[in-house]
Amino acid sequence: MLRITGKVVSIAVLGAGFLFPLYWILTMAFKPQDEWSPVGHVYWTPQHWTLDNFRQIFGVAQSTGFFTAAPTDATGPIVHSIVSATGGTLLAMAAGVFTAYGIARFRAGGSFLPFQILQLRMFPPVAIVIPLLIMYSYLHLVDTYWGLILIYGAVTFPFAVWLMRSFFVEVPREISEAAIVDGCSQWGAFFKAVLPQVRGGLAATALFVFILNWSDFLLALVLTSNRVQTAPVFLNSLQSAGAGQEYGPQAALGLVLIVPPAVFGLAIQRYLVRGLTFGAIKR
Amino acid sequence: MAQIKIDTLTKEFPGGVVAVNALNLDVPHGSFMALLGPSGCGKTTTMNMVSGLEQPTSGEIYFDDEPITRVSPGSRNVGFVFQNYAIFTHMTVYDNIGFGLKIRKGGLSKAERHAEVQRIAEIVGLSGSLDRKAGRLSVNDMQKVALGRSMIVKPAIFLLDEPFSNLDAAFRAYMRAELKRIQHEIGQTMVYVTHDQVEAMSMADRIAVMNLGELQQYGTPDEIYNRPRNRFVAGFVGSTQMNFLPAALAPSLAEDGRVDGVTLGIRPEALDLVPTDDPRALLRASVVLVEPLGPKDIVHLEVEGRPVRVVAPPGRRPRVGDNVGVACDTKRVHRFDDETDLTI
Amino acid sequence: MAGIRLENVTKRFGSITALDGVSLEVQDGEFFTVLGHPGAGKTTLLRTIVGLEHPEEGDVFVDDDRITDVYPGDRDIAIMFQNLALYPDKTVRDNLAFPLRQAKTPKPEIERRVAEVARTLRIESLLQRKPAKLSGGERQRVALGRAMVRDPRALLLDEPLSALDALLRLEMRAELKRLQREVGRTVVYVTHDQVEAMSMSDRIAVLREGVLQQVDVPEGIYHRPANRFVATVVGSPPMNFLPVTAVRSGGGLVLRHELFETAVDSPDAAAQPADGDACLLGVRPEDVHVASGHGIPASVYVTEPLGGETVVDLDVAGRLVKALVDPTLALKEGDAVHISLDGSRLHLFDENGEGLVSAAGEPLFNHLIPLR
Repeated sequence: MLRITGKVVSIAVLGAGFLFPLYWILTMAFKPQDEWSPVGHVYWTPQHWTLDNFRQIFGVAQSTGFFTAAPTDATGPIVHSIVSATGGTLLAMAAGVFTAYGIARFRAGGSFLPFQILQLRMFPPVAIVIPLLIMYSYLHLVDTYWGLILIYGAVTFPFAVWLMRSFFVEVPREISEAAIVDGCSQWGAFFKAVLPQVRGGLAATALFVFILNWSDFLLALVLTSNRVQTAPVFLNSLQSAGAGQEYGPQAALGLVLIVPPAVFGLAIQRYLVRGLTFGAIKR
Repeated sequence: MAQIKIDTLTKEFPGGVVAVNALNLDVPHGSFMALLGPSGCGKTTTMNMVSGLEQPTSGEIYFDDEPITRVSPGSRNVGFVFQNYAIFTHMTVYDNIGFGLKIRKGGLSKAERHAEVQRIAEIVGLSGSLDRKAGRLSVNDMQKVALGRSMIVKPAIFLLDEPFSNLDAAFRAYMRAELKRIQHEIGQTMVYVTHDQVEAMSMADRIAVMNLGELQQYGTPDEIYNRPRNRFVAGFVGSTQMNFLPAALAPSLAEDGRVDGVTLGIRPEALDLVPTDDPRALLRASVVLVEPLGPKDIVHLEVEGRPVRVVAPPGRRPRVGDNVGVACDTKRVHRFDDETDLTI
Repeated sequence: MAGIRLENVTKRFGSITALDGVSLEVQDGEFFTVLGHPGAGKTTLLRTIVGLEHPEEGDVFVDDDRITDVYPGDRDIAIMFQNLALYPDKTVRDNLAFPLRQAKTPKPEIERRVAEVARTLRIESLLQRKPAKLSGGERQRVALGRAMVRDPRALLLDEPLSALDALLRLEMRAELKRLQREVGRTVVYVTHDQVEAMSMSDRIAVLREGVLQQVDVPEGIYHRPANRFVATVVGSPPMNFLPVTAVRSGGGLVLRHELFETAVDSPDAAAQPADGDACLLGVRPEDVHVASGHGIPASVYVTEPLGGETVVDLDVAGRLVKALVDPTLALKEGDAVHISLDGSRLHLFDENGEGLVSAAGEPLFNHLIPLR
């Protein structure tokens, strides 16, 4: 009996811990300014529901009455985020999928290559971000789409390789061999016989990589200023002299930013389930 | 007092699949019992319930009249030998075999443990390899290590799940005789799961034939082979499958004139090839294929569109397309009711 | 016409030699089996023929064309893998059609061939299904169909029946053999199951750790094994070996065992074995006759009733000898019996297992003289 109560309690506690921030953002997004952080009080739910925060971040007439110097329209940053995250994901996937197949099927690069690729991620990005900025300024890549896409692709490339490698390893080599004997070239065997087996893996990896790129803050902070500022950086800039941290608009933007990855996930949903459970080896 | 008593054991999986249906079995003390059947017949599920790895949906299992259905596998005092040996490859043969004794709190002295390991190694035939690393042994020897390891803790009951399926044919033949001999020597009850009827027939004291979760017949090898209860058992046991023919093709073999709704079952070794004009020829057939197996040939015939197999001595080999007559040992004809599939 | 020839093929993987100087020839239209234990190199041999492995030394020929360096897809040889390797994402129809589409065969021709193969293998009703929804036997047939659909010069089958249930295996054995007869194509079949090899093949090649032991028709492998390994690899229960010493005196050769001795008919004076050599006398279980009263004394170690016959394990001077007896013979463990050996069916090997003399229908030994 005690075991069951213990299980229930720990699940409840963990669940609460994980879900609470989401709940807080959800409610904060609809709170008017005076409810954001009133002194000595906590509003668990909005007393006066309002859409003002959303209006603010989309540049529609604000009703705060305070003067803010920075532009508050989030549409631009959101677009920049979509472009750079998608571009970075495509780059990482393109390079990563082929690398992963080479490693999984042909042991390309010897037994050390997978580890060497993983080492790319062992550096905390903050350690390389200044040299990166300097490099970028030489290359005129600062504050450009390509600048972000390249670095996002490079930084999530190891994830793409590691995840896709494990999916490719599950595909029996005889499947590509059968295709070869049936007349395909190595490329043909890869595209026609092997790749269809890992559709789920592709979907899961792409989503994972996209989320990583989408939520990047540090790289974008350093490598962009105002032309291609991404949404997380913009969100951080939602502060004003009068109100300090503008929790309401920040929460609203946070909610909005959940949408693109969620849409992506829903779009590839049917492949995802297979991707997450792929691992049953037949025969 | 039976060592193992299985009482109305049923296992149903979510989705409505009934893996085992109301099974009743008694396994006497010290006997070698084989659970035989095709894949999916429920034999592995039954053994998993006997071992405790699965819980039955209903029914009880008794060891020496004690119900153990809810006892955890570790406390049931059963020894396992699996298909993939599950031995510690980085340890020596000696350490592998002695492992069970070492971790037991039973407290044998070091000298006593040593003597036991020697004894078991002798029984399984590994006395000369005790110092070798288990991972470096041949597949055959690895299986012996697995056997020794489970034997040394003297479990009351041994459960073996197709332990020889990974071994080569010659060694399998050798291990069959050895295992049977070992079981007689140590006198412990063994439950052996297999889909290979040769294994079951050669080793077991009693065989439980299962199909689709149901017990088809439980008897000695002789009973299973010569007095099968139904068509499934008759067709499943026997190195060359029994021939099934509608009684209408050979009315003289039908009992008390009953020809309709009856299928005859005749084993290939009970048939003989004779010239077509021989008075003993009951059927006329044409030769489709001859399989030379060494000590005997299996001749595949066609009798009015139906396949018939005959075991023939290797001397006079017919050619494909020949017409031959088929004679039959009338005392060895089985008859099955078409509707119930039961032996008449 | 597709005869396959291997000349001195050697294949190494790092320090392991999988195939060592293998030379063999497969006749056109033959059902040729490569028999050996797991790890003997059988699969490597098939893969070398189809081109998935390239030999370090030696050449592969098909119809006298040297194909050693030809890309697998261009060799016009089809292979059926042990794990089938059906394309899981494609329907049965697409699986069958795949090789034809790769060869850019015109669509109506594809339809025709697929329908034909489906009919031959009785899988027409399965064409729309995906492999996951097929039974083991059905998948087998689809894999076979995919190999057959190109009408290749030769078909290579890698242990196609090993994963099947015992009963299904029996059925498929007869069906495969019948199919091959009908289609008339060269088949190279790989297995470790000697019953399969014996029953289906026109000729068998026995492979051991990459080295070819013997190539012969099934009866030859069975009755005239070149060495102890070949003698053991076919025949179930396997052949028995009794230690004997060769005694030469006055132009005659006698083989002496602890419990009996026997003389060799017309021994070749110059050949092996020399006087005093330790040899092995080989006799198959069906040629060991159990009687009581006269013969070589033995005791019953264990009996294995198989239904149609019984295998009796006998202790003969400390050695285990298996005999096949009629099931009606009632023997128990510990019984004392006498055995006699069929003199026209004995084989002689030197102490390393090399064949010295093999019974080939002529009586080798005229009679056994028991020693007391």
